Amino acid sequence: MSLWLNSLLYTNLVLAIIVFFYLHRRRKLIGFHLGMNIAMVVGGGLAILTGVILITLYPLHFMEVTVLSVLTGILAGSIFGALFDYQTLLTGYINGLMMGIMAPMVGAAASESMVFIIVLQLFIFIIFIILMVFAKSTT
Amino acid sequence: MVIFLFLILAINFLLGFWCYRCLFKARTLFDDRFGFNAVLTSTAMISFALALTFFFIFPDNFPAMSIINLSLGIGTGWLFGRMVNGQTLIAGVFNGGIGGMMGTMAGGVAKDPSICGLPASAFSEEVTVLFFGSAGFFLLALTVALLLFALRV
Repeated sequence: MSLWLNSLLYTNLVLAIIVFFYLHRRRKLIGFHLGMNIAMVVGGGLAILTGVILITLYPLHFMEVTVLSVLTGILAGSIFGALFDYQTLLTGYINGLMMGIMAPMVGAAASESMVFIIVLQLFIFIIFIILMVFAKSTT
Repeated sequence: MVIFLFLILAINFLLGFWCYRCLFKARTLFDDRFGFNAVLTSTAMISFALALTFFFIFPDNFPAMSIINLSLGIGTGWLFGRMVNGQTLIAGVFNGGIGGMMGTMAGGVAKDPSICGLPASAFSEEVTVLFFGSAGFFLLALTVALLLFALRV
């Protein structure tokens, strides 16, 4: 089971890189409302996934998992927000930070159920696809 | 440890006050969008850091502390959101309340992980409290630095 969880983390990294290069080609054509929503969705989603998966892998280390998920949220929100504007960077930063603080508690309250992680992964995957479709259709 | 926590609380309060002064001086330059983003960022982080430290100092009696932290966050949000116009007041009050409640919850789980169903932590309670207090201070300092850098860009 731990191999599956590690491969899910790797899948999320690859997915984020694909979405980043997809958006990087079209970043001049995306307005700031869609940019703000993209920064919030990507930062919060990656932070909550990393927190839930890591607290299921290492339930003894609450401190380190919180720090890692907060750093993931801050970095993802800032990088995806910096595609557009300084204010989208601020929005992505604060949303990733709040989601990253909340994520290990959500994962601990779910009490290591695999179904919850799979449904959450599916939700984030679908919302990334929606985001890429609308980033294409509004330009 | 209590002296360290009071020191952290005082530094957090001074950082928040300095951020308020710098934003208040430049408040006539804000448009709607920048006002919304600045109020959201500053309010959520300042009320989170204050509520986290405040819960570590008085850890007994969880419901009373949560009510006090909620009012503290609402006060912070009202103070920051008052600067621009009505929509920033709404955003500030709501995000301040959210930040205060989330700080209380994070402090409660950090002090005693068994209320979330986790096994007891590998570290002692004092190490955890010191670590989370310092982490809240560093996050607040990073946020204030990013926010005040936005006034120059």
